[in-house]
Amino acid sequence: MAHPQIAAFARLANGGQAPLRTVYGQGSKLSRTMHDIRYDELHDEFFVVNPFAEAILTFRGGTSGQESPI
Amino acid sequence: MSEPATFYLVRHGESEANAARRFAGQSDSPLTARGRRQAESYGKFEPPSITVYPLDASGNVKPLRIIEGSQTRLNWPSQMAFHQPRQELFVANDADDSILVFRAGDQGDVAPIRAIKGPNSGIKNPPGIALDIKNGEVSVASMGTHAVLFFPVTADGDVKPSRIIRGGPSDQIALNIGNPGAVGYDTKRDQILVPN
Repeated sequence: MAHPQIAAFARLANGGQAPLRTVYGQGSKLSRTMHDIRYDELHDEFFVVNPFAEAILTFRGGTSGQESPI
Repeated sequence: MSEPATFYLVRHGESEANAARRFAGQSDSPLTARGRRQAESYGKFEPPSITVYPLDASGNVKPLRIIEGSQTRLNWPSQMAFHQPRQELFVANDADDSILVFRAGDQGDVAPIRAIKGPNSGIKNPPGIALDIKNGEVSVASMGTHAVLFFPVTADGDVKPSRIIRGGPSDQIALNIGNPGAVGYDTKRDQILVPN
């Protein structure tokens, strides 16, 4: 089982293609059981829930690697 | 012979020691207000439902509408997505291995207008769903098969997905996607976001 991460795939990805980027690591504050994620086109940000921290994390739209939420 | 009874045992609601993250051992730490509410709510069955509130609702507000009942097929509804142009509500229906679609104004014990479900669909315990309005697709996080599945927004019944993102063959573990808990669509970069 992988560590908590957000994997971003090309929209037309099919099969076992690797993600274009991933967000991961302790600094990202991601947890398991992330049951919602939403992209905000207006502000170029996305939101993801962290149920264990009872938190909503906001990331830059183009976040990649071990980046922290803004 | 009478039917065997089923007992559900609940240890306790949230105690003051729990709230303070303090180990209380066998001492009798009193319940917090939240713990009392938890204790009172146990033993009741709250059927799955979708409740609709005004956008500016605040506090203990009565819902405008409730979708609930056996006709709805709701069973652990999880992430939802609203299709504005089609005025349809898409629901990832986790415990029923299905995607349900309701009309925007639906309420009460109504059947979904469409449902994607069945062995061909490959949907298993879907906690997440996202809509791509521009390209007319719905993407589904299928936790039970460690995959993200794509369907036309008009898909209905036991249909095969048009694409599948998965980190390996169907009978092997998927390393690129562990347990996808949701799915999102980055419209600017044309990318599918998969927390897992």
